[in-house]
Amino acid sequence: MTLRANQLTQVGRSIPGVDSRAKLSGAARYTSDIAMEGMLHAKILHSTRAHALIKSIDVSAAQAVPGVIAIVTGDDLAALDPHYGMFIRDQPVLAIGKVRYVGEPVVALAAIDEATACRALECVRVAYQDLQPLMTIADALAPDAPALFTDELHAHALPPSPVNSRYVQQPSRNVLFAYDYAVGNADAWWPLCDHIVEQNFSFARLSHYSLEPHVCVARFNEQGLEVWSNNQDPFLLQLDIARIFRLPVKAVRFHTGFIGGGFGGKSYCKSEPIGVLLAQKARRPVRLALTMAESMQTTCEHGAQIHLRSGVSANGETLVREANVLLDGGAYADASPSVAMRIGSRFNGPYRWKAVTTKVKVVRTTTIPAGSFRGFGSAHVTWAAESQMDVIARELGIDPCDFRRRNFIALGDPGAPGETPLDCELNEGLDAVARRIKGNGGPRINGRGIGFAVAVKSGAGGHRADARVRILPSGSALIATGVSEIGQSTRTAMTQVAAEVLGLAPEQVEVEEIDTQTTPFDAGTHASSGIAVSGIAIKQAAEKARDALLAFAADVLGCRQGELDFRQGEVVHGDASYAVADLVARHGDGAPTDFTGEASKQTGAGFFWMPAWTAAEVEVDVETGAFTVLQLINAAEVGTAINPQRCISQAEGAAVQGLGQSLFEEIAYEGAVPANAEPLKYRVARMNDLPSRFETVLLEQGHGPGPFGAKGVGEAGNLTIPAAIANAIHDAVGVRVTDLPLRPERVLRAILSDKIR
Amino acid sequence: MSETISVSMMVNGERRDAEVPVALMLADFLRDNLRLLGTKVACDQGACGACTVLVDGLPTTSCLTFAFVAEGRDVTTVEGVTAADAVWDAVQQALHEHGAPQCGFCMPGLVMLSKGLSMQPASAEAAGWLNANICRCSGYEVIRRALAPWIATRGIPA
Repeated sequence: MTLRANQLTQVGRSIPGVDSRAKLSGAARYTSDIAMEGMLHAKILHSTRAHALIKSIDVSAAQAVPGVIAIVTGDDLAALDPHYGMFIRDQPVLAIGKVRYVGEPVVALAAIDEATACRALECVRVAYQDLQPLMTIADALAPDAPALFTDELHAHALPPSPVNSRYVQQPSRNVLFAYDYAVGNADAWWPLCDHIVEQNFSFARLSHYSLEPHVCVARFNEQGLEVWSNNQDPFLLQLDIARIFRLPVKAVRFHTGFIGGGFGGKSYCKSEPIGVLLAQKARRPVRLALTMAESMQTTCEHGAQIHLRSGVSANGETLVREANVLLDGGAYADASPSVAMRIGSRFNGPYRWKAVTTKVKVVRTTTIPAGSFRGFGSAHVTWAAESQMDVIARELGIDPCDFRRRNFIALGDPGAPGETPLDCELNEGLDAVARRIKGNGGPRINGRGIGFAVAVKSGAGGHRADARVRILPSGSALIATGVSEIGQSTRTAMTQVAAEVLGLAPEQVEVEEIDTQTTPFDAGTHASSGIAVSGIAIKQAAEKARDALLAFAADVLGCRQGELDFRQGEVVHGDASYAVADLVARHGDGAPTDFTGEASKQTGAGFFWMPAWTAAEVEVDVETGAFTVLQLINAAEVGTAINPQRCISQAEGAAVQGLGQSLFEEIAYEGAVPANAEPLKYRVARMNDLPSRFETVLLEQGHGPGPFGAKGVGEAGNLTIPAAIANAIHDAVGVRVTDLPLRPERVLRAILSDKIR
Repeated sequence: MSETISVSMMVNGERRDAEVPVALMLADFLRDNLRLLGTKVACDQGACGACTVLVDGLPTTSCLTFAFVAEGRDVTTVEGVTAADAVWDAVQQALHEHGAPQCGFCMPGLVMLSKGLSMQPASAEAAGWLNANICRCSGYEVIRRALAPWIATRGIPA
């Protein structure tokens, strides 16, 4: 059955989140709210050194503190497989003989309460022998830099290189991973360019700053290990924990409830093994709740240096591009190899190029390990590429929007050989934001300028999601997927998809909490894959559940299944309708207790494209370099909006993260120590930072591969903001800032050097 | 930590007496002692406002307030706003209808800040209150729209 848009009753409705009341009333339970009988509280002692050998650890005084039950150090890892990492397993559960960044977990202990645990940690003595810190990419690549890793890497299961590329692990000292990408014959095209623009950009290290810190509760019982965690990848973590602790996978059970934000920071293994290790040693349930400051020192977004060169023809045709990117991966691999591959293969952006070559290197430094972050590399690409598109347009004397339109990839065309064809039309979004920001035009005001940026991010590549739908005798439905509810409104969207298929009201659909023992598998709440991939699985599972019910009903009623329908929770036969429970009762002994459908969806390299368009207007004070963002107009395209309001909220929230990144976000170091990796010192956007005009246009072009034509939306809205604002500054005062964040002193320096020139 | 102090306060209209460590924070007293888990602790530094409760009607970051500070006072948590005759507060209803919650972790604090704001007479001091709480998910626009009636009457620039 194919439903046309005008026949849909649940899909396309902006209903409030199905969990909205629970969240507003304080009834919603998060992992940090879990407590159980006999539960101990764990705290971690973090390294105060950037790079040092651990000479000794004395825990005797801590052990003597009343109420301390268990203490673990790197020595407790001997019997385990103690390293983790998404592709390259190089990160120890606790430091083993050596620390590689300030903040690295060295000792952990469990006590009867957190206050006791904190006091006991103060009694632990660690003797270090300092080694040379490598605080920056330049430090790490210096000829005399010491190697951060001297033993062999713990690589495993590296994925095949994406199309048009190859990679090398550890090609040279302190380089974790190198990725080369090439399409077309660049050497042939460079001589044919009429204009070539070459620039260096920097991208600051960011914090996810999700409000619920990493937390887990672990306990061992007769069945094995049970963990409640707010990690967004319960099934991946189940495998990791089973491997690390040498347990059968089926003996490890994860529960995931509401998660208080993530933005990538809660993907893949983090501090969870420490909680499990303590629970194992203490033989009691252990709660390991990091503070937000600790979470901010657990993982971050990659800082980067980007060298970008683009060549175009005199009439503004994009011809050839070359990018060299150095990513600051921090001390451990985490998701860096995967991020490097995404960055390296995305520099064509939303435009047609004859040739693109990129080289990406992930450099190890003695800093916070960088991992997944909303956009997964596309933010780095878009910052440099969309800044440069603007510069080229200005050099050519072409309107920046016209220059982009001239080179946009068309709907249905692959951006590069082997890529997924573009499933959106790019002019519509650019036209929408351009029309809105310009309004009625009017005279140009001194110090004011407008800038644009466009991005496309691939979503849900190489994902697998299973789903189950059960129709209960009450006529209501229970649905289950492994997508974590992290704020993206997956429970609401899945409810609407199931309700649509089953002819139910949203109130008649309930979403099961994730329990790896019963919930269908999901490859992780990643890459905006939830609605597109799991949504398909839920839709198919709902159809199967309905078929199972109708087959049963046809048997009971003695009619053909084709004569029956399922509407508003009842089986309809002509003018008669039957409650499901009545049919079950009429069947008598051996009747099913529910009607279940299960389905699975597996995707290839790129499943859909998430575009984003931004128009920004700024006013710059040329005396100080201070500027105000007056207008920020964004557009998102979601194929079909399952819930338009929730889609807009995703785009808006991402945009304001991008605004914070543009204006002030950066984890800075003072020497070897993070200067502001704590909530009070790391500035994020607050309500007063919103531009006075802040609008989001939601487009539904209907080409998404997900249920009812949907696609993901979560990771696009932040990508375009920094470049659009930098382009607006350029439009306003004629200078280019190529470093993030766009601090007033950077703008002023650009203005002053422009005057001198 | 062995030093304790007895406290007595009204929490959501109910008298609560307890002997607590001197250094116990109000947020921990509410969450751990009274199991009122609606109040969230996020930044634990007074930066984000997720732990906001009302003390004598004024929004207060409970993660930075000692429990004994609330001695003899009226404390209202999100449970207190919600539970009163099961009446869903107008502020909660507005945030609900506009679809404000995403991850939801900041919402109890935001509800309490907004509730406190809605009970204040208009004043210059109240202006900017909404700047006190951080929501990392929503981008604030939906909150700004939901709370527009209160923002307008308090003279807060929208």
